[in-house]
Amino acid sequence: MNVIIVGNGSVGENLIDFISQEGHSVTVIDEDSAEVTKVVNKYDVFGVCGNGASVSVQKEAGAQNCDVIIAVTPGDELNLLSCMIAKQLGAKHTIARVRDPRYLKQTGFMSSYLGIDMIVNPDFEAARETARLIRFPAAIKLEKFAQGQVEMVEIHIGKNHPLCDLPIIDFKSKCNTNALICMAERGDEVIIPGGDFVIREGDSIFITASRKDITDLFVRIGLIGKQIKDVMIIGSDRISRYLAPALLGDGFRVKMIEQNAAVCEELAELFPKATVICGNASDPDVLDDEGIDGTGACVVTTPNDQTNLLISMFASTRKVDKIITKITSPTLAKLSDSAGVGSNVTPHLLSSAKVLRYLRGLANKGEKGYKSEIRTLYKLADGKVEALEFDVADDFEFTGIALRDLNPKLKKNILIGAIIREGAVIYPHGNTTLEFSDRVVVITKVTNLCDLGDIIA
Amino acid sequence: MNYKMLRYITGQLLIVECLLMFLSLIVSLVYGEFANLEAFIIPMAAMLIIGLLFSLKKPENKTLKVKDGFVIVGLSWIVLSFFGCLPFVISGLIPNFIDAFFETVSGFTTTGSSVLSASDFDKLWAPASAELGMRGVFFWRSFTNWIGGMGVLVFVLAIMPQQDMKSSRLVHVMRAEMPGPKVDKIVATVRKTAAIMYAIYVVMTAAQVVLLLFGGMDLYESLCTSFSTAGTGGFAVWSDSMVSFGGTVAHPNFCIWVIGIFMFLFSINFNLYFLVLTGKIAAALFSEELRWFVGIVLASTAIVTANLYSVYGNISDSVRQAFFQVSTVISTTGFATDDFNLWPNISKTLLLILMFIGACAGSTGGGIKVSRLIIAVKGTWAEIRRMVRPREIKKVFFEKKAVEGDTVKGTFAYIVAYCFIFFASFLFISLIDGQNIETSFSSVAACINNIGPGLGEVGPASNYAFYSPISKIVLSLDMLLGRLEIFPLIFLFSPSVWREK
Repeated sequence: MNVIIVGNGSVGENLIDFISQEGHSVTVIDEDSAEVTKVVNKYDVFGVCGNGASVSVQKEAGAQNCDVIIAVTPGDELNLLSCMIAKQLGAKHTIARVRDPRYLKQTGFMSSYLGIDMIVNPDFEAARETARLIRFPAAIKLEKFAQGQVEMVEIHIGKNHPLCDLPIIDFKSKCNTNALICMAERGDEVIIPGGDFVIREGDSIFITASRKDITDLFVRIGLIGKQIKDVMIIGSDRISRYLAPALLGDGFRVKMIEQNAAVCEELAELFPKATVICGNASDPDVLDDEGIDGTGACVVTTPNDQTNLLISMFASTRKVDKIITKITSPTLAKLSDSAGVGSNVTPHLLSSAKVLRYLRGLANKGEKGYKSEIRTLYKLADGKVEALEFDVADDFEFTGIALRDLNPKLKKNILIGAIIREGAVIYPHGNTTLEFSDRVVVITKVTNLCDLGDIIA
Repeated sequence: MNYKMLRYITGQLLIVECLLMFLSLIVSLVYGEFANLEAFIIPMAAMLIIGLLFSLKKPENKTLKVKDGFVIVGLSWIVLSFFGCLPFVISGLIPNFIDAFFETVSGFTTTGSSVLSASDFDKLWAPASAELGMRGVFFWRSFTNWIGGMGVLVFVLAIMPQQDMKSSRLVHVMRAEMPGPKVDKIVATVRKTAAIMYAIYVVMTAAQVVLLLFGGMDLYESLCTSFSTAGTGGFAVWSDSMVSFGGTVAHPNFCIWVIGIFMFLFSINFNLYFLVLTGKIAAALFSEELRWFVGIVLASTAIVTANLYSVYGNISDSVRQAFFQVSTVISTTGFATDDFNLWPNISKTLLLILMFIGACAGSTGGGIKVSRLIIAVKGTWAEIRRMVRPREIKKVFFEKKAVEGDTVKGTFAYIVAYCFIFFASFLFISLIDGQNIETSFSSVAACINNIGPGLGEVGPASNYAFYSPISKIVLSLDMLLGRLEIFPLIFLFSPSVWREK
């Protein structure tokens, strides 16, 4: 497919990386010629320098014949305009990043009347993820499949963790659960574990199961403590502006700390129920005065990664049940993981995954004629692993075969994590078969699956 | 200071007042009070001549500043009262000029404090053909309540030609005259806003006139009573206000309920009626100020009813008396269906407190205004919180919107200025006239809040005639300060405004 990406920011570059790896031809439009040169040298893409909303620039980039245009410049309006122009020029599909909370309510209108096929909002996704983590504090990461019928949680194995030093083969019997450990991350290495894998201190493990089974498991092994009641949000970017109303609506007590007095006024006006504090959060005295000790959850989302990391590390020296840090840079995210201060949220990874899912869905229909469309796609462990959700279509040839027999035919490093059949969750074992119209969750290190058929070697 | 514009608007104002007085002249003619016609003809001629002279030359520069708006309003109301009191003097109803000025200011500011004694009311009901017939003059007296209720400059704005309004920023004039902490246009132009306000005012007044006719009043009584109710003024055409309705009304209790309910309606923010007219009924009903106002009225009525049960001995009388008196005091009208001076202390104290609360912003009522009190209470609470949590930023919310810091500060400033003026006047009239504390305190309270009758010697059964001239002038100024919400008069009398080029 021909893909045009307008804007080469963090989301833009992330998309360029993922999309060019999947073998699509990518054209990048950016106003900064140095940036364009940089990406052209780094990735196998074509670059055009200019304003993405200019017709001549778009023509030069080939908008007439492109399949997808993705506009991810910092300006919402520029993104929308670029997409509208491209659509008129002949682009088949348009994806715009729109982040302003004020536009959130009119996404439906923008899709139907402005010709925007998909709107991605990294900050909104990040806020949603953060809210999920606050509601389920034992997990570092939480993803949903099949409208929430199956969830995948990441938990970190600390010292004295109940699962520490447990071989996977004993997991089901010891914890009396159906849940499946589908992936483990040890240092830089990602493992899809077999029965002989032993969980060690420092690992992160991913568990898939229905929400109820996960809750039961956590209760059984003592991971669920008290529910979080109060949240301290440090920084006032868009994530906090999406997060605060969601949390307030759920009855959490929210305290927001922001340095800029004018912004504080604005926040106090937007969220009358929240407590807005004007102060410098990188000053430990301020945090102590405002009672960080004993706070249920602390969400750190200032614009600066380093500051966020430092604040989170400080917060971890106080009694805080859950710390969630916004980190944009993958390198720092790893550092934060190894420091073990809590969960990280990376907004642009969340939206990249959403865009990729859409692109693969298009590629399915357009070129190969597959029918087992991707329903959900998550990038895990720094993009090394994907968790995908497929529907089993009638052209899938391997229905009715027990997994025991199917396994040798599968590509390496592929695991069937869960099957949803007629609304019930089935945890796969040797005798399980795949049937038409099942929904299947696949965890894989192979990163270009477009169709369920692709899992077969 | 735009003196030319000041002169021009004063001229327009005088012409308008002349036209309004013409109605009273007609009433005099209808009742055949030919002996008293000059009471209107002389002031009308004076106003017409001066008005025409003043508005002969239109000013080139029509731009008004915020300050100009205040000064124009302050000056206009004094000019208005000066010419408005002439019929009382010339007709001989109130021969003393200061007394007549007091009565007129009391009328225009919708206070309703009177210097008239019971014997003066006999002149009203004297045979029409007799020398003493004063129906026209009394009509004018009630009509001043109606004019002052919505504001006479708002009326001038409503009828001013559109080309005069261009670029003149008359919104400052409207803001200075309309009561409330924050006045805004409800439609795009000042003229249209003023016209809509007046249309609502006229229609509601007409509705009340019709209902009172059903209650058995004659057209004259009904008109005068409705004018005084609509402006929340409180001038009655009977010497005992509404206690007996002169003994001639067929259904006095029905009339009491009608007047009570209309006083309540006229003390609600008129913007809400506009919302209802444009179909936004839910928005109007959920107004925070309205809910507080209704809450205060209901709670006070309940307390006074319980307290009055010992006086009247039955529920229906107690409820009617309690509701009417609560409504008349909180709307700052000042009618009386009984001498509440003789009521138990709890009721009297409550009524005295209600005088200060007053009506809603944007209504015809006076007092501090419910919205201002809500903002002040919330603002004080926010300040107290700030003392213990210095880093916290807390906005004051009113009507679901954050109130700007300036509005909160303005509200505090208003209340401080109000208290200062109140206590200065209280001290002053106590020194001059030496009345007891109850009388002096409630006199100032009743004047500055535009109620009318107070407690003690100025209760509903008495009048203000006994005060010395100098105290009457102070009380007149209090009434103007209360009606115009202090700042226009302060600017009018501050030398710096006039010195400045």
